[in-house]
Amino acid sequence: MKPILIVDDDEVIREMVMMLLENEGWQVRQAGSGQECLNQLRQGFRGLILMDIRMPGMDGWETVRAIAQEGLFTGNLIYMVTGEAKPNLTADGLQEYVLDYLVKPFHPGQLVKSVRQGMDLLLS
Amino acid sequence: MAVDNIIVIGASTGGPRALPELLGAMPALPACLVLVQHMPQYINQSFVNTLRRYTPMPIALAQTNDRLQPGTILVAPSGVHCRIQQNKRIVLAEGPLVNYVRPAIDVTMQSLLPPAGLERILGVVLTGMGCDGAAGLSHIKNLGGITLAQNFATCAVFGMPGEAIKTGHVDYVLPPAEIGRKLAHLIG
Repeated sequence: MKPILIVDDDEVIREMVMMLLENEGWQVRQAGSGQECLNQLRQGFRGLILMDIRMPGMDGWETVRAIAQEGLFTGNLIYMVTGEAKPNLTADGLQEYVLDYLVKPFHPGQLVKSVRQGMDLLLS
Repeated sequence: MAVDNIIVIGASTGGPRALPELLGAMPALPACLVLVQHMPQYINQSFVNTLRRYTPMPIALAQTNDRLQPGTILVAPSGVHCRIQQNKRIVLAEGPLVNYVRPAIDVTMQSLLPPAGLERILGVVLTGMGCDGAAGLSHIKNLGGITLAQNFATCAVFGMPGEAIKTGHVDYVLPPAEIGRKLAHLIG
């Protein structure tokens, strides 16, 4: 089973999401920053990444660009996470890697459904 | 076999959520569907396998020289543009990124020619970042085709449908499941 990596500077959110997803039987890891996320990918993490956009230091988009620049995308899927209901985004070539966009606060059922779809794409 | 109808559907961010809803609301149609989803190459086959659960139509990754058969779905693979030659045959080819992506929805849609006889051509743009598909839908509209876009409320990202709608060339703006039902109504 491929693991899930929650990237969010808010520890409370990381813990809540981790508990929810672990209860569904998935293996879940956490990263408190974009840099921590990058480090985990450099160490071999491959799975589904839930990437918060607004983080201090390297934000979610900067982290995705760094992942691309380091060639660490292969084997991963990325879902961006935001508090904005309808983000206004510009495309700059990252759409191939960012498969979906999840809105906080999470509806538990919707989050599990979205994660399941992502895991299906990684596993089937 | 003559191609009766062609439907090109383009999607990007949020597409893996929208496409099952669309296909799940649609019976087998006398049309060839060509899906262009922006995605990394390593999930191409699993994407096809996942969508297979939602549609009664045979679905496969497109290959060069595949003929567009009514009642089937072809999915554009990553890394190459997917053109439709003479409205009958798939041609995959390398080339520069278009709208920052490859395959680009615009490239596939803009490769279509005016329909012959009673053939119908339809284009759909679903959720996604950027503007890919907007020029393609305009092209289909100019060919006399019918165009549809996903509505704001159900999009993960409204960028692509929003840009398409701004062209003034979109006939229907609907949620994914209603797009599926509308396609069935228009084609079935």
